[in-house]
Amino acid sequence: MPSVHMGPVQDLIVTATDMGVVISAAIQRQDVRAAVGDVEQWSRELPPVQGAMDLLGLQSALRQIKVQDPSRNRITVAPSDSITTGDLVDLMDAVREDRQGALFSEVALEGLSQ
Amino acid sequence: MTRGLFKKRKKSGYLQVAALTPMVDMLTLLLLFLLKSYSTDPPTNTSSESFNLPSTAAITPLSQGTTMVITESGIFINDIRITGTDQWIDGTDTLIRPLYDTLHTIERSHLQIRADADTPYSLIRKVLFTSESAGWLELAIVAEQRSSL
Repeated sequence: MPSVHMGPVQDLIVTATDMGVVISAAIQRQDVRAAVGDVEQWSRELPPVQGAMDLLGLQSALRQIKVQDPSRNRITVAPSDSITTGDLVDLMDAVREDRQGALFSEVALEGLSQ
Repeated sequence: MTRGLFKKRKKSGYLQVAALTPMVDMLTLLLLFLLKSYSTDPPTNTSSESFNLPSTAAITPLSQGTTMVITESGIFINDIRITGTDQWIDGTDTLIRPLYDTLHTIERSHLQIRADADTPYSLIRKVLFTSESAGWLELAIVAEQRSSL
């Protein structure tokens, strides 16, 4: 998980492939040694559980990021070409909210203009 | 007496015209019906037994607009088949040219994309890119509400 010295989240991307889900975040450092604008890259891999995406694990990790930066609502989802539309919708549902409430309500799909 | 029963009636010009009028009316109606029902458009069958919308927990009302349906058999806009899917799923082209050309001819509004749950994202990505390139900026992927299942 991101360290307690981390501040606002600048970029938050969830990549989904057949190999699982990867959460990547760029988080501003706020410890005493950090210069203004220092950003730390953080990522976490969640392998599939019983052949499916680990959506509960994803929500758990995203909840911790949300607690760290409650003001952030935007997240980018980057599905690989082999992901089906059904899985994509499940993924978008999972990042929007969990059982505790709203997570990241503004979901963007990566790569539309490429 | 017998002769009187089978006696031919005298022909009357007025009666013949009167009998023809309903026939002409019927013929006109039939012609109108055929003209209205005949179309040179390709088959518009978008229904498929294997078509399943993805399900979602989100509740977002749909806006009125143009509907695109993506099934195994092709991409349809307002029930008219635009192109197949296989060549675009496996192909390297990012822009789906027939779809782009069609979207260019339609007045832009909301575009609702109804894709089968098993449609690979490689095709959805190309559809989204093509739609954006054609000037359609309000795009929505339609899913079925889980609570309504």
